[in-house]
Amino acid sequence: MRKELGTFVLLVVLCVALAILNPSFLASANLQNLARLIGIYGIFSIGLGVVIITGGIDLSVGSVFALLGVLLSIFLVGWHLPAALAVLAVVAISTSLGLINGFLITKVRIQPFIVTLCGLLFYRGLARFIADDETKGFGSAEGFETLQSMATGSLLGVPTPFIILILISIVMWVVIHRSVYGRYLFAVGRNEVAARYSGVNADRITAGAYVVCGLLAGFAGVLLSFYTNSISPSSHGNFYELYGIAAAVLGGCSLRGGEGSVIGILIGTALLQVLQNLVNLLGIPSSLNFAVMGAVILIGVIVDQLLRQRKMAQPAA
Amino acid sequence: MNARIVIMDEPTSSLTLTETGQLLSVIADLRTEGVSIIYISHRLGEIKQIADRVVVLRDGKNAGTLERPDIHHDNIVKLMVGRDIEKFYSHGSGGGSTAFAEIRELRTSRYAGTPISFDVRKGEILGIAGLVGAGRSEAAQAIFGVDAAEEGKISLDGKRVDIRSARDAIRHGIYLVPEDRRIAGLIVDLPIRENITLPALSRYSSAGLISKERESKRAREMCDRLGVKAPSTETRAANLSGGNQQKVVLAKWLSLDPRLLIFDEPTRGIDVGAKAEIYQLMRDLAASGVAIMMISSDMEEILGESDRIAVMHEGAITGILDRAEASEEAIMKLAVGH
Repeated sequence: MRKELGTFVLLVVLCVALAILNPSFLASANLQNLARLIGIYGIFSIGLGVVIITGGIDLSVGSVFALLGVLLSIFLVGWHLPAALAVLAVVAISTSLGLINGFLITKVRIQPFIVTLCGLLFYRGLARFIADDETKGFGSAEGFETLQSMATGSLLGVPTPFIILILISIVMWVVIHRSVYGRYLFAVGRNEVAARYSGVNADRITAGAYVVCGLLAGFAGVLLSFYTNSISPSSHGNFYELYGIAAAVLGGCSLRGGEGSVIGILIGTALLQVLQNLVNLLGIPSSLNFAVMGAVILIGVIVDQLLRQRKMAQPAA
Repeated sequence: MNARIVIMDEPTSSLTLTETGQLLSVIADLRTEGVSIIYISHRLGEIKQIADRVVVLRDGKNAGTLERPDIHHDNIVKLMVGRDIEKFYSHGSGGGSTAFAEIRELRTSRYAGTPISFDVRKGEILGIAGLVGAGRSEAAQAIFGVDAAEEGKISLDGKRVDIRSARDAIRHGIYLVPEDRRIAGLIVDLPIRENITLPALSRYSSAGLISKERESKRAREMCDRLGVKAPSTETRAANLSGGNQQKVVLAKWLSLDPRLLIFDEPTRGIDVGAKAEIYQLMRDLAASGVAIMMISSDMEEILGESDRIAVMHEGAITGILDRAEASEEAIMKLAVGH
């Protein structure tokens, strides 16, 4: 909890500073757009967090977004599939890709980094090939306006992706922090050997994490496609897995596994988006975008490390 | 290299018979060239074959030296053993006469060529003796399902049980207190409560959601019963002493219903007080009808706590001794393969 608190304080400080330096931060249009982005990023960041809790990693998420975007456009605009069916198909595909990752990692015993790095390359290439390297879109969204409004609309002034994130967060909070599966997840992440010696089916728990990650990436992928409204297969979703990993790590997930929380991941996601917003609003050259983010994450991790070492230096309770 | 002294530490432990023969002839050549060789081995056959002088170490001390004419199996074994057993131990007391757990033709992946068969009786402590690397832990892990056996049949109370994973073993009441409790026995970063309830979370949950109150209640009961000394059940297992950690591992299994309980080096790294408590617990469990296997490299423990003793060597069971026949010499002879 202390770890999340630190990130939360940083988030509040940034927001206050930004509001003082440029009051248009508080403009409703800006806040709405911020909330919409937090919604989309938060959904897949939670998925990545689950994988990271097992001690794994998923680098393929961004490329999967490109593939899902291209397929969604083909399903809706090309084949005129009913909106519900198209979404179902895309989410099912994304979940299956998670299952394949899980299978390769637990049964074929390939390292998660390698498996999902191959996924990163493979799905990107597949997306470009399927789309003929042409930008795909949704035109005027004729026939699936409701679906589009899930990504672009608002409910009582709150952007729908943000509402979806809240719902998903509640479900995932229960799964991760209250359910038997969640307990197994942390046990496997902390010490897979001892978990197996206690009868935990570690392979199934780990594979399950990649399936959850795939499922949430599916939801986020649909929302992201409509948010950008045009899918350039070579760049759509680029680096998104890294945003997710950064959000999870900022939120207290340890890449060694066994640590993390839904609340923390949400705070981490918000922090990244506010940083992005800061770069835009303070007129920092957008070319410095990544540099600012990298620097802030690094400082956050260093501070955390220093605090941890101080804690370790104290005698154990 | 112009070696003058070559020290070999168990050089043949992973060699085949032919390779061992080749190595021994190389050693003979080196000797004729005037090189001194210190040859450390638990294989008395090799020692007899090549040694000019034998130094026997026991508990880190020099227990005696033998010159070439005196290098006989029995002389070596005599030096390796020979201590008084304290009154600390219960000297066995129970054990029915009927087999409860029957292990047949069990082949572990490490010693696939030597299937083992033995029985564990209800209410007895079956000691498993042998030198390090004799395949005792492998057999335990195969019975518990964490390192699935290549082959083998296990029956409990006359009923065949199929064990492919620890989960299967746990379902049948077969539990393992592993050799390395900080790696395999416990998740040391987690609190005592979560360690105790991990194998049977469904007992503390409804609709897949865990009730922390039910867990805490059970964890407290178990800690009281076993006398775990900890500030609370939320204390991380890492912050406990070795003895208390071992009690938490035991609490994990005793919160279920053990039928066959396997201990692998149960008192290694544990202080004398906790040791006595763990022996008492083992004895009580046996008296309540649990079949117990106790792997131990501690000769006093084996002789002091076992009702019967199975001795292993290179993956095979070389003998099973009753209390009356058990002695350090008898065990050591079987442990080195004679």
